[in-house]
Amino acid sequence: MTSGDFQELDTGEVTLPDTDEVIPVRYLGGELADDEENSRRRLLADWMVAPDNPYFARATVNRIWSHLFGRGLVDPPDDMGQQNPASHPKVLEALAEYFKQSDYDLRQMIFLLTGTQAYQLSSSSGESGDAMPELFHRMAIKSLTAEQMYDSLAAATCRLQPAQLGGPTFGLNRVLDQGRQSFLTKMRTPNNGGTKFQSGIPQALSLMNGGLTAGATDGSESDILQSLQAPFFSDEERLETLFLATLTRLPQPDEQTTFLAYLETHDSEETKQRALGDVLWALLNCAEFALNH
Amino acid sequence: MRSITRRTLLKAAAAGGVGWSTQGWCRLLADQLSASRSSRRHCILLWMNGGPSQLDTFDMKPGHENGGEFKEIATSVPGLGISEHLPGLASMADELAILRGLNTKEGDHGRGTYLMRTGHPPAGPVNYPTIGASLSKELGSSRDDLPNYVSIAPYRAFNQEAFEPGFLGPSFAPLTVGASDIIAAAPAEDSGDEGYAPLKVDDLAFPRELHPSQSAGRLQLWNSLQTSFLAHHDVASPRGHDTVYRRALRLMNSDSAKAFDLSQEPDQVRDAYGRGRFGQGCLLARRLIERGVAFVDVTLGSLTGASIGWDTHQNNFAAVKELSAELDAGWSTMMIELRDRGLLESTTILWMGEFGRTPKINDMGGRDHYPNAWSCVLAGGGIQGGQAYGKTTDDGMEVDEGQVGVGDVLATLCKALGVSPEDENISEQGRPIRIAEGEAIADVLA
Repeated sequence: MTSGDFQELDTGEVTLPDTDEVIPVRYLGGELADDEENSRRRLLADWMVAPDNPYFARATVNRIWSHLFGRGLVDPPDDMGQQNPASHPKVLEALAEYFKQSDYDLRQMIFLLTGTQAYQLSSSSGESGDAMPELFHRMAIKSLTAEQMYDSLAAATCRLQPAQLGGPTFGLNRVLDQGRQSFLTKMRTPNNGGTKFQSGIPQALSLMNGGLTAGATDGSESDILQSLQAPFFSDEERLETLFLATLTRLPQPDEQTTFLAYLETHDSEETKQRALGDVLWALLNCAEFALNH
Repeated sequence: MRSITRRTLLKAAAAGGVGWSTQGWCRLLADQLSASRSSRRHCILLWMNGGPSQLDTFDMKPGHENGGEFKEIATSVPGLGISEHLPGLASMADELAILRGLNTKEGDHGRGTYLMRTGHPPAGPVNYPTIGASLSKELGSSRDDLPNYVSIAPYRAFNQEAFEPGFLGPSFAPLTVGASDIIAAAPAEDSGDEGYAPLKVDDLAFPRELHPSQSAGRLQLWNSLQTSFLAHHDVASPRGHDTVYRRALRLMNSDSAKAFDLSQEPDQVRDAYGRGRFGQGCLLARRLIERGVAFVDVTLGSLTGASIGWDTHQNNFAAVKELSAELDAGWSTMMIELRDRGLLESTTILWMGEFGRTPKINDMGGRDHYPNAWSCVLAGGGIQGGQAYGKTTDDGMEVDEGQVGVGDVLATLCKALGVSPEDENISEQGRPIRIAEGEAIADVLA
């Protein structure tokens, strides 16, 4: 549900269904929430962040951890309780304490976590596959949310200029961007992020064959492909530009061989432009682009 | 689908007498595979969006003021009567088990849709899967070219989650064809090819302007990127990405994708089903079942003009008459064609909406929402047809006999399909959740 479905009322009581019996409002734990001065929402907020409430800081820290690491210290993060202990209880306690002392500063918490060695580990799995993700011995590979996917596509294909991405009007542009909205409707997944790949066949079809990708990989429409037409570029440079724009890395030697060979078989200006579109298509549809790794 | 468990393997080995024999289990595997293909079961959900009037379709009240304008007609089963506007189904009543004692608690479109399609009221943290996702997981195979679950002409605006795979995840999501969720997107009924409602899969082929040599080149480059990334990142999400993409590619390149091309059918066949979205959807369902798809749902009653399908708060009788004509043509032709192909006995059909409608006719000649006493229909494979199970009072207000809930209906559907309703899947909270809560109705099972 969206927040638009709710309306805060300043009056009104909760009654038993089909009766007039008023149910008094209590805190979790049983104490009456009885205060004429303040709204109930205010009372709830104060109660949640009260220094003697042990739950809020732990749950919040665990949630931020799970966003960054793909799984919580307590996992699933919605299932906190004695039956589901944390993988690293001392780490969770220390982070919760730090979070309280920083006056619940999310920015500082994210700064702290992203600076850790644990966060900066490689996601490369080597031989060990999926074994023991709860040890956080390498970075988890996370799926992009639909929003991240659209923005990544837009940024990689120069549909949005970098200045626009950071600029103050970006928020409004995003709401008004109908292409973005219809993409999000199509690509929406029940649990955004996480370490499971969430999309299905219709979404894959749309990314391979849909209008957004077709436009981005068509030489006469695509901004990035048109800019690569300049005659002073070599094929190596064109290839490097496309890899950097999509995967933010240079091609590996074996990739360079494969892709250059493909470009070289297309030597007229028209077929070259098409071949560059094919390279971009492959890059935009590969797992490395679609995942946060 | 039943798979070979460690236990059956061990049993086979033990039966061989001298412990482990490779030859033994190879044969077992081959036998199981061929058996599973020929004994494949299928399910079709005919989803009646808006809440169909039971009193004007399958639970008539002739002679009572609540009964309304329509006459009851006799069917091929002595003593069993249904609406005069369903003559095709009346002649096939030996296939139908009409459940007249359905009782549920949700009278809101969104909540009722979720309840009936998942078996659970919408509440709490669990994202329950729509029944098509759970059943196609049991009945389908990931080796098939076509998706195991296809959803035709759904109207998801009442409750998006009721059409989703929930905690089962996206690999069990339906392939959706001809959705009409918002007014702007709803294709006009007759805007398609030569007067038939269009039903097509979006983006099923590379863009037309692509040079033929390019598609091979693209896939070759993609494959090299994909293979080298997976070699160093052999964990869940890259594997999931790879599986989904390869299935999508298989669908694009398969002959089976021709199932979606209804223009391959002769006009008289297309006309017999009805030219609208529902009729053409039933034809598509038959073509998909023929090619082994496990679960298909077809919606009747998406947005038409100002009103939503079966939600007949006003002018109930004119609307239901029109909807009945579409329903009768599509459903009965589909059953005949499945039967002719020997597929009806392996295909179970469930007809239902989110709730029934008030027996009392309101001042605008309409009927309102009524979950207290209503009907659904099971038909085909595994079902003891030719009966009405349960009974409502003469005024239609209460269930008199044979009261059942949504869990019982879904458990019965599972059993008819050879699926155990007690089988569990694990929710995202780590909780085991049964495919269907409730008791299968023994009298309705063949």
